[in-house]
Amino acid sequence: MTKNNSISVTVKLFADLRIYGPDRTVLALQEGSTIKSILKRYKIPKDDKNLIIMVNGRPHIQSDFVLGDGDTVAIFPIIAGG
Amino acid sequence: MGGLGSPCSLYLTAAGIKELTIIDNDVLDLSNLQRQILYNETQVGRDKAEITKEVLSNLNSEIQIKTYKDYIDENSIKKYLKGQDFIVDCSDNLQTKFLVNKVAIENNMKCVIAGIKDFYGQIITINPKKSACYQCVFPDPEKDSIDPNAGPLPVIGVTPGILGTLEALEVIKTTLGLPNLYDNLLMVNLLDLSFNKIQVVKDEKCICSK
Repeated sequence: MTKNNSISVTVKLFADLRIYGPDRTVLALQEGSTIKSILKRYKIPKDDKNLIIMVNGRPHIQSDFVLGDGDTVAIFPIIAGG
Repeated sequence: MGGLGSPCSLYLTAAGIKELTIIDNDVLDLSNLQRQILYNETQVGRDKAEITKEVLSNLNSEIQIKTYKDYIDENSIKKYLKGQDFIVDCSDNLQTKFLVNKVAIENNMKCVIAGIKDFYGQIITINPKKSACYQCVFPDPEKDSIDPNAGPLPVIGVTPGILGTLEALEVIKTTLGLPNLYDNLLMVNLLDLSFNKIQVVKDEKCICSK
């Protein structure tokens, strides 16, 4: 954990979610921050039906998930075409 | 056989895969030719299943090509599973991708599933009950709110060309016991030409863990 009760979280955006930010960013967040705070920061619509969020490779993460120091968050869409 | 299935079937046939069973209910439309490289203008209006058999048999006469004009759904897919070692999803809709994942797990068959849109693609290879499956990564559209009936997606023809080729590569590597995409989702971005693997942890509550 970094100073002042902040945590370091790596955020990775994939495919067309790159319109919201760079492919990889390391953020310093307040301890207790949730996925919701990341979506807000990047202005990603949290009700996007095709949005998939993983934390450290674990799927089905909800927006109220509390992040920990060193977590990696991957955000990507489900892609249906063929 | 669409944008994914065209390159995938061509490479598997050229590689000498012993037997290919292909199911497609579609008729070739002129608009398909931008990405479906199995076909040409003279074949527009014909059944894709019929053309596919001709094209692939001409490419490699030593392998068995079986094609069927049929829809894939919960009932029909069971008819085609017998004797198969591997399922390759080349569909253009989420229902079929989830169905392929489910029957692969139920029948203990390895499978590869890919999807494309615009310049983007994703692909995962699944070893049933051992590696993370498609539903470990993506929520079941019947239980969640993903719209399974979303309209046609925009696509650059090269995108399914690359993802379909990667599907063939995964079949060949998996069959040979070489490193593959088990427990990883590969995200392909052809705008910035990046290939990124996202490691996936198997979901203990998923259908593949039961």
